[in-house]
Amino acid sequence: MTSSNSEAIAIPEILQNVFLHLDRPSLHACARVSRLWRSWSLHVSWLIYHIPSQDIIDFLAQRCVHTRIVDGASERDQETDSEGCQLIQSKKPRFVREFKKQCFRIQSLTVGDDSHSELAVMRTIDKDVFPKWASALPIGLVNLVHLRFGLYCLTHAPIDSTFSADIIAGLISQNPNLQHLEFFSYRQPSYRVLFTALRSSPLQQLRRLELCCGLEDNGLSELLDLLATRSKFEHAEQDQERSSEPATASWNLEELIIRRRGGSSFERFVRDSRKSTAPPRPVAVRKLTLFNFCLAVYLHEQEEDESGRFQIDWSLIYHLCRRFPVLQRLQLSSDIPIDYMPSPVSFENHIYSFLRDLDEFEPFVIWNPEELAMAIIKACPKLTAIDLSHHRELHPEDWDLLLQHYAPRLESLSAWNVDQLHPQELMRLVPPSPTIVSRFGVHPSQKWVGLQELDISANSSLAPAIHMFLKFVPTLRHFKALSVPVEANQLLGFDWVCTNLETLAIHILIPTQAWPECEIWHWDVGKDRWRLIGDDMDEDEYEYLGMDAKLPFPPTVQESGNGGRQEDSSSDSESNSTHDSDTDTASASDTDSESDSSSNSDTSDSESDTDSSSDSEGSGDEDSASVITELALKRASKVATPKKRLTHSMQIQIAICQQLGRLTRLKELTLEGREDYRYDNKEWDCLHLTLRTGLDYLRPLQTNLQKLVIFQLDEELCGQEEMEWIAQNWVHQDNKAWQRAFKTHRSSSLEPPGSNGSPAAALGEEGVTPILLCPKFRELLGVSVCGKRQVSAREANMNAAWLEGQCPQLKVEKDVTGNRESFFYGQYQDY
Amino acid sequence: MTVILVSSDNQDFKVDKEVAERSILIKNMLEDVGESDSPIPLPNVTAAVLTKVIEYCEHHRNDPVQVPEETDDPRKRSNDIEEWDMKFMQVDHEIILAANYLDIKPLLDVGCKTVANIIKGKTPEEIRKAFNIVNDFTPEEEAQIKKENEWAEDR
Repeated sequence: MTSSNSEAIAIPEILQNVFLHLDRPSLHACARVSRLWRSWSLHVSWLIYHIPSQDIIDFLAQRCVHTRIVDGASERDQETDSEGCQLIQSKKPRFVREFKKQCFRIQSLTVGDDSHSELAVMRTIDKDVFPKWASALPIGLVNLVHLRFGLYCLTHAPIDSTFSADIIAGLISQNPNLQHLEFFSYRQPSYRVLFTALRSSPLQQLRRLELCCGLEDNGLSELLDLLATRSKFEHAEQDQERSSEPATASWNLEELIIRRRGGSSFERFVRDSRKSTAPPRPVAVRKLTLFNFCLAVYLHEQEEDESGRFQIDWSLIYHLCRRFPVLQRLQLSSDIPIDYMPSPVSFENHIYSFLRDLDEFEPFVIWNPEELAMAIIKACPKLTAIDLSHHRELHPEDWDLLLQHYAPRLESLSAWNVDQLHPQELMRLVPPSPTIVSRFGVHPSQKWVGLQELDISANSSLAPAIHMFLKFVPTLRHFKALSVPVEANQLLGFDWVCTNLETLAIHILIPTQAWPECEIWHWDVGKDRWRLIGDDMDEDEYEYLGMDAKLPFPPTVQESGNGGRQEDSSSDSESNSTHDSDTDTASASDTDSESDSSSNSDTSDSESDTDSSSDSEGSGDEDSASVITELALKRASKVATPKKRLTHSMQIQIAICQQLGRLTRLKELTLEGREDYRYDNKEWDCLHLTLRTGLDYLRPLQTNLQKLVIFQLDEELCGQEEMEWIAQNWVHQDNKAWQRAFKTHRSSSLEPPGSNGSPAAALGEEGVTPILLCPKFRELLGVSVCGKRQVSAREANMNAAWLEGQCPQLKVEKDVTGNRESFFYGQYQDY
Repeated sequence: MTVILVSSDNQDFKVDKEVAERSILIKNMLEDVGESDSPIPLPNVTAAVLTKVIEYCEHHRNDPVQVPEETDDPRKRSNDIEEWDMKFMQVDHEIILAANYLDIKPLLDVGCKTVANIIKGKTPEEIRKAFNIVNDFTPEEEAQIKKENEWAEDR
């Protein structure tokens, strides 16, 4: 972009578009550039407005004066203003006057805040006089498209229940073109005021309704009935007799979001739904989100069991789905905070600390296996996104049925901490390999939309399925599997196909030596699904699958290219050849772990050749994976100190880094793992993220990586070389001045440049601060500085401080946690 | 299927219909005309600029089409620019005008974000200098505006 582009921004619509991308201070600067710029910047700066809680009475209220003096009203108003002026800053009256003058421009208004913070900042004087104030909305405030209204007042009841109710009712009634309405309140009765306002207002443009408030017993029923009355279904039927509400225009509501606050329950809704003999009143909403609700309903009317507990009804999902026949996105989950904080607590325990209430019930499931899934499928056949995280009411058979039915159109599945979901069911979402498809000509999976988002965190039993998604689901863009430790063996031997990944969270176990076991999936042609070779199969089934039951072998890094073959194979000859090759390879890799780096390369070469020759159906990708892995090993051997050998763990780490480095669209990468992990009577290592263990292969991530989260990973990223590598390759890769200065400094000193406290002086050749060219990499969270292995705590802290000094826009969050809990994390640990 | 686009300097460009339809203007024209081999004249776009625009559309041919409702929401605006787009926009500013004329909203947005990034952090005088804008305020007006802006700048 050159500086002579004034022709483009002379066009008002382009100028407005430019201003829409500016923050408020920049808009104020633009307002002083020229007359044209002033008019448009003012227009844009008023589009979005926030009235904090402490300013509400100034902007949206007036003092309620019960006067008996008829002819003195104007004098009393003036008196109120002057009283206010004494209490608040001198500029405030001007703010208010300007607001009342310009408010017709506002399209997005936020009133109050959605936290308790407002109580802390509310002026003392207001608390005394608040009940005397009443809503007085500016008459020009009529063009809102978005309204977010959040007033929490737990201690001052009148504020929430009367004053705020008046304001929200007034705002809704005078803004008929609202498209997005968000209402936040802790007090239960307040939602009734909102419902009343919604009933009496046309709001034909309303697309999204978000509530974050306490709903009383029948609050949900009331809301759904209101929505049903305004939905296109009942309008089409002209069924006015069934509704007590006045006839109003229909809504085309796209999305409904309800977050639980206070004592909300679905008990009444479930009971009413169960008792009702009339067909459910449908709501034409396409996206439904319910966060943080307890889904269990006690059946007090039934007899207690021997332990004195009532049976529990888990049918909420079913009754909800029946009300939303055109639903596309169903989200019944929890909005637990997911921002990273260094902590010794595992992700699973983190979940349990937030959602303890959902786990205190015994699973008294009324529904028989598959029954609930059948009901959901019948009620909502068009689902494309499902979030049923932390659910207990669905049996494995239900999951199997749901995923089988929705797989062709499913774009997103979130099912973290769902222990009833097993790998066999999850694999319903993995299509057969291209090799199998080509062998049988056509397969329905070729018309699948393709899964884009998958979150299976906190369910360690799903580990055997993870590599299959990396192998056969190229459409994945977001994949989270925290606290699902997956063996690196499973992830190697093929190129990860999901190169469009933007988010990846993964826990990788690095084997310290080659072990001859791993899970193997085979495509069962008769049942048209993947099956795990295991103890649930008898001899006949093996024969049916055309497999050798003794097949399993470890696809370690030396066996690149084998992984794809073993899952695809369905002929005896291929299986046998694979098995033969496996025996040799396993023994070779055992030897290899004790050999030096030069013999590593030789062994890998010969194995690669063997693989290629025996792999009658190996794809080009697999071959290329093999070659690249070889190159990776050779390159790492050069990078590493020549005299030190590469251990088996290091080779695996290098190969994993190589695969991670291919995911150049990654914006957020979360890595998890422990160096002292013991599982299945084996010792495991983790990614060290050092230059010696393949960090350099992550260089291509510079293209898009914004955030690297080290989630309880025992890495050594805080070494001097590694910190310098990050600065060079992820932050300053386009910054020529910095690179030149860095190289000069590096050649003259072994110490990190600027480590003595003045990075600018150290790097700027002529004392000029280098220009940072919009680096994408902005967050490095959880980097360990507690002094493990090679780097002492002091050095680690110094190196981290140097990185922060070199990259002021980079947020570096250090993790000083020395010891971590091992409860859920190590549920398989057998110390 | 391909369509032929004709630039203002009479150069023909043979383009996949799918690529050309990233431009709403061209898409509407094709819908109006129906099945036809007639070239589409673009009198406001030079060959040099059209080449770049086609390059952009080719690069983004598989991107989902933006939903107007979402893009019009002022709260959803972001200043993130993809690396490829950033390098692309460094080449020629006339692309913004072309994107506006051809109604290619994603390209127009990238252009506007790039301009916005230039404006950020600059004083009014620096902005004028960067974009060759004449200060048409009188000194009195300027003083008045500065005073009026004080209240807003505190927010």
